[in-house]
Amino acid sequence: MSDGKVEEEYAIIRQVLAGDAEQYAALVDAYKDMAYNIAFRLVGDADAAKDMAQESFIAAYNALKDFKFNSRFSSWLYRIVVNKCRDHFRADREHVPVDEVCDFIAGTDHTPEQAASCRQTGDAVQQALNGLPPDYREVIILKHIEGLDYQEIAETLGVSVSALKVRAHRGREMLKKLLEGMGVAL
Amino acid sequence: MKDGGNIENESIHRLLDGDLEPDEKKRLIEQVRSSPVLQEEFDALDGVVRAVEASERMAAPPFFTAAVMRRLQPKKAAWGTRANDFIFKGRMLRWNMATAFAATALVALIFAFAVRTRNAPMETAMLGQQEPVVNVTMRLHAPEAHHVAVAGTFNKWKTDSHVLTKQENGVWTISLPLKPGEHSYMFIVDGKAWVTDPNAEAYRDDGFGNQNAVMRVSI
Repeated sequence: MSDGKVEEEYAIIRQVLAGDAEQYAALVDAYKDMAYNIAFRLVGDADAAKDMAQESFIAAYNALKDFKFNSRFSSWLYRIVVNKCRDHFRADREHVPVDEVCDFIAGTDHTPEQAASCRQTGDAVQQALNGLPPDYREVIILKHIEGLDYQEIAETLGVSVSALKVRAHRGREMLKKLLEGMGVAL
Repeated sequence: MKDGGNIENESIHRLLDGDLEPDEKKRLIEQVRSSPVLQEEFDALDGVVRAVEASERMAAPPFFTAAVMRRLQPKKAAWGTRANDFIFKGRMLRWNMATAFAATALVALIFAFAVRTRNAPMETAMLGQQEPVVNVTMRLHAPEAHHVAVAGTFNKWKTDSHVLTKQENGVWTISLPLKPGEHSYMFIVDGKAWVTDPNAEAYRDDGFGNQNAVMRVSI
């Protein structure tokens, strides 16, 4: 993102802070797809993702006075979306069918019918992502779907780069087994 | 091969993360090509990354922005900003016939009041002009007195509002602006004795056994 774009966003934020709330729509428009996509990939459910993304924008708006004008709004929003999704996991652990998908890792508990059903979902990658522990899933999504570098992810998640690389490494290994277990050709 | 169980596997992940130096990368690729097991491992992990990267980017549902904006609470602007907006920012007024009539009546009332207020001092001034005053000097010879005042119809018989000044010859004097007409009055000496002006041009019984002095003022 260019410095001009960042300054443009700072100007919008200052206008919102000065009382012109309507200006916030420009920021929502600019980042709604990003926020929704991350939320969807993290929680694996369209309705929950919409709620998480909307809640994130509202939380960002309510905390806008705390925004430090030394980072990008998008980085700040990434962190809020991830935290909202973490809260969602804590509140509703059964929502993500981790156990069901993780059965594929062992490779012994699933039936051919289950594997066929999983393939028929049309989004094996999402099914596999759902099977990852949340810490691994966050890194894989931010790194390989959102295209952030490790430094940006470290700032977003508050975790060291070396720790993130370990999570990414293990996450990819788990994804490989999950996708192979679902019959996805790699 | 177990998760991260050997150096080659670790290197594959470093390659996928773009962390390998050029010579390390070249050496790893040669190792992978020479080992079917490593090749299979590399292809699988590379396939995972490609599959994840190629996954569909989900777009926010319709009316997403509007739904967010509806739920926002207006922010309270700084005092200075609010004051500036209150004074200079354009605003739309909603109205109906009742408020229009009320506003019109209020404006008419204010206008009538303003006209009345504006005319009042003019009337007073005109009255002042129509009823000019004449400066009249009153005198009382009382060399032994310490304090002399005058009370009359012109000051509603107040005994302390008009005090005379003692001259060197023992005569007390005061000059008063009086309207043309007839004025009754008496002197009060040392705050207790009501004394009739011995030099008055006329006298009138005050109803209490004394005589008020009478002065006729004309232009």
